[in-house]
Amino acid sequence: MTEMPSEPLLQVRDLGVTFQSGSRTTVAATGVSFDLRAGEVLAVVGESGSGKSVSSLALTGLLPPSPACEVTGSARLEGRELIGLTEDALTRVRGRRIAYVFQEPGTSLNPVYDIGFQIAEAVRLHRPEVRDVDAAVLTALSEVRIDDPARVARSYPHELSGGMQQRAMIAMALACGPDILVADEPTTALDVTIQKEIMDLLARLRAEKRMAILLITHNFGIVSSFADHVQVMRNGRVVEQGPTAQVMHSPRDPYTRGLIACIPRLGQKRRRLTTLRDELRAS
Amino acid sequence: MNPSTPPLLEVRDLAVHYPVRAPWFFMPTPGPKKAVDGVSFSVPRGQTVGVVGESGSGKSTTGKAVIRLAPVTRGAILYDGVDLTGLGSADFHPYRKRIQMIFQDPYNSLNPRTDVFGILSEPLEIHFPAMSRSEREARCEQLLRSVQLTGDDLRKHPHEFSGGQRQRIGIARALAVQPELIICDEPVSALDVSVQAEVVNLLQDLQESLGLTYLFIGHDLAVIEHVSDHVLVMNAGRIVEQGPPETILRDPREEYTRRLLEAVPKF
Ligand SMILES: Nc1ncnc2c1ncn2[C@@H]1O[C@H](COP(=O)(O)OP(=O)(O)O)[C@@H](O)[C@H]1O
Ligand SMILES: Nc1ncnc2c1ncn2[C@@H]1O[C@H](COP(=O)(O)OP(=O)(O)O)[C@@H](O)[C@H]1O
Ligand SMILES: [Mg+2]
Ligand SMILES: [Mg+2]
Repeated sequence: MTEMPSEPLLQVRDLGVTFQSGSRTTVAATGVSFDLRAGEVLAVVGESGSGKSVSSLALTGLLPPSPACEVTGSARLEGRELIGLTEDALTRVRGRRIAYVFQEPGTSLNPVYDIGFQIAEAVRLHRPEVRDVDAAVLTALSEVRIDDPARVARSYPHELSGGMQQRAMIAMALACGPDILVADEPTTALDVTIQKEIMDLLARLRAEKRMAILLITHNFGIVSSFADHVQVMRNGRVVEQGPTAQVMHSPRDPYTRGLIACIPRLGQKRRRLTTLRDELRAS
Repeated sequence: MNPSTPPLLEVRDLAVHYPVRAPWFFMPTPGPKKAVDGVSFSVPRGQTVGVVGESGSGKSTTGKAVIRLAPVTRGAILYDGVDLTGLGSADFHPYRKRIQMIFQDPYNSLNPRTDVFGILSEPLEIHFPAMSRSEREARCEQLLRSVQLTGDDLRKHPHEFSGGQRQRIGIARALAVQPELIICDEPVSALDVSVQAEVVNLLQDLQESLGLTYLFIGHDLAVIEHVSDHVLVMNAGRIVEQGPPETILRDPREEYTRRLLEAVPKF
């Protein structure tokens, strides 16, 4: 390769998140480091509770305030440190620079307002310079391949299917023109057919807009079809990271090997599923 | 499948229609919601029949109709040769023991206020009223060991367990009354892949050692292929095709099944 690698958009170094409740301290994430470049998809995988969500929420201060929660380390967005910024400054990063899409669109959307109103509010908050907010709403809805954006804008969340709600959430994130989209298990609650539509949509957006995507998932199929790099987390630590093909096909860490080995694969029926325990015992 | 031994469960032309109320009293009543509409299949003894399809296709309703958690509009449910749809509630009672169900979200299906002993002894008190308390305790400990938990876990409450452990408790509760058929409604869908593998292996070990029969509902095609002897593919309340997983999931005849298969990301 002759092309010089571009400067990372986001540089995370030694990020740590600790929760304090009474006398109990939980280290939810520690020593997390990664780079994210424009137009790149970094997948974060690991079992539930391994610290995937908290490390992404820490980037924009979406965690409880100190002393209940302490965030340490560094996260630089185009060189500018995010950790320790004031709430005011973080509001300008959230949505506008780093936007989030979560697993349950139904719980992130407000049931009492129509979709158009909610997207318009996000635009007014994060992009006050936009003059024609209604046009921005319709553009965002058509960018997520919604055929009839005007009708969907007038719909309430409960009138839409799960897949449509997730599209609306992505449209709301896009309307703010973020550089980085954090997609936290965006398709876990959806059927495989809808999952494919949403993932194809995200792949197109990253190509067209050079948006970087931090994709949190536990689905290795999705990782291998969509991610450029993978980070594997276990108990708050990164146990392995690297290019997708390398991590998927020749994982170095026994834990990564175990996680991949225990997934049943279509067309490769075995007598018995391998478990993480079998794999860790073998190594 | 051996045609000479009758299947444990045979469902013929099952329909479950829910009445739909008009949004306003002066509007005409819309037609019923046909959650399940003319479904026929059989489950041979000791085997696993897998059910796949998109959400809303009628998988859960089919399973629930068998144990009267959904109202049967039409059709026959033959269990060991007896049509369950015609039975009064007293005559149906023994089948509540012979057929058990386990659910996707073990947390919602376990009473948070009682400890594991309470959860496991409730079905024993109903179906084995002659059992003494000490017999019940011994049985509960044995049940916990059979799902790889320990006797010490009897005094704990559901919130003290991980998702995978709670699903083991759900399985132990289903096993308590020594059922023949277990309807497994997405039992591993909410679990991490690592935990999924252990629970699937556990269900298969139990099937072998206890001779259980499963109706296994899922949406992960690879899991369904792994566990099933026979697969039903459902869409909009109907079975679009059925057969052995080797045919249905490798060389499907129906466009719908092909679409499901193509949507699975390969790696
Ligand atoms: N608000 C909170 N208060 C206390 N502990 C928390 C909070 N949020 C998350 N945790 C803990 O942090 C750890 C990592 O959680 P999370 O990042 O949500 O895991 P993942 O997204 O990988 O499933 C878990 O042990 C979880 O219990
Ligand atoms: N109690 C009910 N009343 C009305 N409609 C129902 C009821 N239960 C299920 N349905 C509808 O029946 C259809 C099939 O549901 P279900 O069997 O739960 O599907 P699946 O398990 O395949 O996701 C869905 O459209 C659902 O909304
Ligand atoms: Mg999470
Ligand atoms: Mg269901």
